[in-house]
Amino acid sequence: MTGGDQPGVTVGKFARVLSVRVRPNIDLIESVEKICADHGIRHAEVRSAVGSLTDATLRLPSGEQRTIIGPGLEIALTSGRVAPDDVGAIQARVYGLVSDSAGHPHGGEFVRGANPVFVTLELVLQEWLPEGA
Amino acid sequence: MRLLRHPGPAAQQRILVEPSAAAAEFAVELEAGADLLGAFDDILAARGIEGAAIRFAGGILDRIGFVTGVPDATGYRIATHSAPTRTGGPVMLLAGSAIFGRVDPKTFRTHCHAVFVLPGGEVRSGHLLGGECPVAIPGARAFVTSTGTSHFQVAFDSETNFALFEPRRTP
Repeated sequence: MTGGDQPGVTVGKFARVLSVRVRPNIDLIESVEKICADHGIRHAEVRSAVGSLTDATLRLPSGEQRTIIGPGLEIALTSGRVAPDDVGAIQARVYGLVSDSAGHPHGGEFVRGANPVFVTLELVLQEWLPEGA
Repeated sequence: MRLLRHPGPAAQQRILVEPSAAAAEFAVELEAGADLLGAFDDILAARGIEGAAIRFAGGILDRIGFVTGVPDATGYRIATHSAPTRTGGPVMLLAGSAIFGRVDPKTFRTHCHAVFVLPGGEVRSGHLLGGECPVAIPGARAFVTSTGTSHFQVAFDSETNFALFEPRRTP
């Protein structure tokens, strides 16, 4: 069953789990995409991400990008997935909150190439195997 | 993208990865009185789990202690944790992400960043402090994904001068 009888529904199962540390000055989105590419993973979910960013650039619902200046912005929450784009390239889309020094949260979609890890990013990714993919 | 130079030498390998086959997944209901972070030491150790991703999905706390990132005036690090902010409850945990791993052969740590609502309605977020977030009635809920044959181990990082989790293969 692929879920094809219900638009938008994909049946599958979770597979490999990757425990990751990303060191400073590496971009959050680019690191997720590189890790998946290096391990032959085409679909994945972010299971947990805890760490900090030097500065954070977030895409807002309007499409506007907002940069929060750190350093030391705590990544307070993430959700996201990895999937091939229209031409088959691995693409990560990760959403979440960062916390500034006053504890105020700032939310949005993390913009590729604009979210450098500050001290560390501890990350658990899990491969997703959609049926029929 | 702004890049910063930390006090120590930068290791050549910038991304560390340990893969594992899929392992245990389960939900946890934390009861009133449990410490939000410390409770996982016994829960996961009893199941033989040394590394996990934890996702909090709501709950109420009697009080909360947390820190944020601030500049380090001593220069030992570029930035460090702030002095703790401690606030009485009830505090509503909205969501959070955590990594569970080993400090040493006898000690575990749950490294958690979360977003929560203070009693007056202010939404705040930050790095929660172990032992300072007791669960209140009616409890708190979390989902756990074991990292299987890999785990996180605390090791001193001479680049940033922090003791940090890094992934290891479990013997």
